[in-house]
Amino acid sequence: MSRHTLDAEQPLVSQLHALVAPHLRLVWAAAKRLPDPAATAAHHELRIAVKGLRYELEAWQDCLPPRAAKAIRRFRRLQNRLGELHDLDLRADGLLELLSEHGHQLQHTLGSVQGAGAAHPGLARAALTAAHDAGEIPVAGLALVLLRLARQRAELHGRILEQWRAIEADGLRKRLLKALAKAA
Amino acid sequence: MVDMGERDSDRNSDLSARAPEPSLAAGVGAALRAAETASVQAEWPLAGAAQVLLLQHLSALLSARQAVARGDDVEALHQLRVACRRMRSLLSGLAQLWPKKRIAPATRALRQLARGCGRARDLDVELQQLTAALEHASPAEEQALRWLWARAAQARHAEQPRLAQAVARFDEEGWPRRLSKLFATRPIDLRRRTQPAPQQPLAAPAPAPAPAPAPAPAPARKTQAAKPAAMPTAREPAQPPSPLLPPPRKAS
Repeated sequence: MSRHTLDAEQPLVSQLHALVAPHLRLVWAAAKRLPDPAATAAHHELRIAVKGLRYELEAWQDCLPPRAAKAIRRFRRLQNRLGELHDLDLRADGLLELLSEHGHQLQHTLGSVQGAGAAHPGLARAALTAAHDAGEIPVAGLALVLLRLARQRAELHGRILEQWRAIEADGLRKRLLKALAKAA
Repeated sequence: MVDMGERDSDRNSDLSARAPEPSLAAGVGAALRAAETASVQAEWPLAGAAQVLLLQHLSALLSARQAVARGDDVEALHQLRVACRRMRSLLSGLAQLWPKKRIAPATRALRQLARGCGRARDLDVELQQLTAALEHASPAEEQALRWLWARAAQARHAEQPRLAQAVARFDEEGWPRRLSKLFATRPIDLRRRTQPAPQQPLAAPAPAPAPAPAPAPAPARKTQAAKPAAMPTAREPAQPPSPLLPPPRKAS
């Protein structure tokens, strides 16, 4: 992160702008891909950037202008939701991996069955279903959970986008920077 | 990395029950304890403010680590990771205030500790999420969620030795003492401010930081009741920092 040279001995208040501004730049740059619901990596990047901004603001909270408290609350809420979004992504990835592993096992079973009776594709399909049903891994339930996660993600992404647009519409970045410059 | 758990309790919410590190030099220990109840002031030199914050987070980290190693406290693990992250976040922005040869190993040690705890924390969060998801699950989903829960619980149990090892390594390499000393003495020697010495009186008439680790119900860094002594500049430890005073002299 590019940052102006800081002076260890100068008062904190005169350097708040230099401390916070780089984080704001990162957040706004990372938010460009927020509208794309499939850009999970970009959403994660935004989460990290907002977290950095939040930590910076909270670190100096006692010295910031009073109006900064509201900004901190808004960024905290945004980061919380981005965190939930990331958690959903991780859980979905884990489930997909599990299902994929299990699918591989089923393919193996299917291959064995087909090898034994290639003339009976219906039998192979029945064996596949039986393997699903008899298997220890609750594949159908996992698939349902995965679908639920996808629905939750779509809904959460919509709420985050709305939240971000409100932050932009309120000119939070400019107002915060202005307040920090004024405090110095 | 899952860190949902940090959401709203992410400000080192339990900094109470501090105990001084027995291995710390008296002055360093006093600086660490004094920082716990300090409230950073805008007029302080940037270095001093950063040191106080780092000591606060370090204190939270140190008091959480034993419970983390025991593995019986989900919240302690969370607090330890939050403290680690906040320290690293501060250090990433303020690294230029310290010599690189000192700050790089410290940052590395914090990163290693955080990584050593990461998987366990992820699993703790996953278990919480799965428990919550059970409330709204259909029967088919419930079966899957219970299966996932058992799997995660097993993995979390298996992760505990690695977690304890990460904490033990942090201790064995002397990082509690090394970090305390680094942040208590550089760039500004805060020990001067916390060791009562007639030659160097405290700058402000405010109550001196409590020597005993009194449990505080609120987060220590937000505690306003016990105002700390004002932060000195590096050159003039006895001068109360004030916007009315000229800025501190530049380091030569």
